[in-house]
Amino acid sequence: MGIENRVALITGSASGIGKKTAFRMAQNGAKVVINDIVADNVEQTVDEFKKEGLAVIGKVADITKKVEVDRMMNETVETLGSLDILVNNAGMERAGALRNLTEADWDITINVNLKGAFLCSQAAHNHMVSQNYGRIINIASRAWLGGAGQAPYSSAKAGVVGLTRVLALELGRKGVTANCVAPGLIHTPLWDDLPEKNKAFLLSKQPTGKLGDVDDIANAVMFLADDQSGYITAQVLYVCGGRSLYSG
Amino acid sequence: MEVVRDKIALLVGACDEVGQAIGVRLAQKGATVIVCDTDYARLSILAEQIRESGGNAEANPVDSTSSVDVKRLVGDVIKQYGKIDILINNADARFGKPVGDASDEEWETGIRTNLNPVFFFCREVIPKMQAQKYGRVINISSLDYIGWPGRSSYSAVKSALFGLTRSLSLETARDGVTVNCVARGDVATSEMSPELAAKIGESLPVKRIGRPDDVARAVGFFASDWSNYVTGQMFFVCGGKSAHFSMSI
Repeated sequence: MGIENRVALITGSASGIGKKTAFRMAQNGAKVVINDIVADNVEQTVDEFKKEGLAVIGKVADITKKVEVDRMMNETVETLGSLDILVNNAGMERAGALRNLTEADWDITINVNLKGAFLCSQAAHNHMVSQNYGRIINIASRAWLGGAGQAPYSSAKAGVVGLTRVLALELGRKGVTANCVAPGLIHTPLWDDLPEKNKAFLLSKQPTGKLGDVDDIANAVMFLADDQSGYITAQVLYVCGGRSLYSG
Repeated sequence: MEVVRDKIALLVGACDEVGQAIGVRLAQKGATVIVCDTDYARLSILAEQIRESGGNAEANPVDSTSSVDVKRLVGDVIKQYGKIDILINNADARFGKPVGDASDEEWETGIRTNLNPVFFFCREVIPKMQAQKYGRVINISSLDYIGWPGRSSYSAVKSALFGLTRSLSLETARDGVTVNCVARGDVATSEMSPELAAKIGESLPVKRIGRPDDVARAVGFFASDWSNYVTGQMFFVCGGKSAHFSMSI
């Protein structure tokens, strides 16, 4: 039942949504793996979790590099005995009008959001298939529906949705499900840093008139990661206060 | 995990096996469930089953195709419990014929039995939820909405639930009310032969047919505070079958 004793690796989990999701999963009995590209961030997060008495290990890896991803997955299985849940959360955005975006903006956004999810899923699925069980949850975004100024990010997240459907079709017979959680406006430190004018504009387009909380995303991830969610695959669960009903 | 403790849940269309599973699950998670359908004998058995397993349930028969009776029932529940927190619309009557063979009466029956009850219940319950600044509405649709030969009328009414859900979600978004659709795919029932269930299961990405509990579990998520920021959505519980189709977004 639930996610108890499951091994869950959450990429980009030293801050924000990933960190809170990892924390809640650990509180609910999962053995969690914290991943980030910066060693200090991983170490600090692992220490915080350990102080709370939670089962946690840390893995430093750049998810855009296959060698590092493979090593991280193999070491996780060696240390914790399996890999049951993968949350592809690591992400970043370079926003701007089409004419202003550089090739580097495009490459890094696609690499972190899309290539990273592909490499991690590919490396994890070997372990999941051999044990006939797995839950892959990809953090997409409502922005995959399209947003002005978001060419690389929208494209990458649309790619994540497509990837999820392929994973579901390929891996379903092996007990592995693949789903997306698509957040909308969520209260993170990034939000706090926005100018008031931008905040007001974004909230004006929000049907609920409110931000979501990182816990809302963690709840959705845990719902999909649950043992009992085996008949749910290839889906996009929007956690966006109805914002997905409008594009742009 | 997700809880619905101390919530009052109105479950319409409680007697089919999916409805029963939803009732049992919500009660297990702490809700008082008012189970509604036309058949009082079956409702009473279900309510008794829920109570025997430690939950709270009450049977209240209703003709959900009658707006007068729906109004009466909602009034009864409000009088007794003071509120309705969760509304599950699971009234479902499958039907289908090639379009040339379908009579006026069959078309109208499809609308009357699948769509009207959802509208009637939403009309009575949602304003009360808005007033109390809390509510969870879950409309049970079907993957058949996506279009099937020989089931045009059924697809049409199940598609209508999508539009109704989206409109109501926007109408209530600032009132603490969420409105979502759970669209069920293939679900094995006791009437289905094991051979047919296995054959359908083999055709699905997950290689097994669904169980009523699979749907109930998703409904449990949308009925709980775990889904506070989720509204206006169509969510499929279908073993990945939806990935075989192009999807409207």
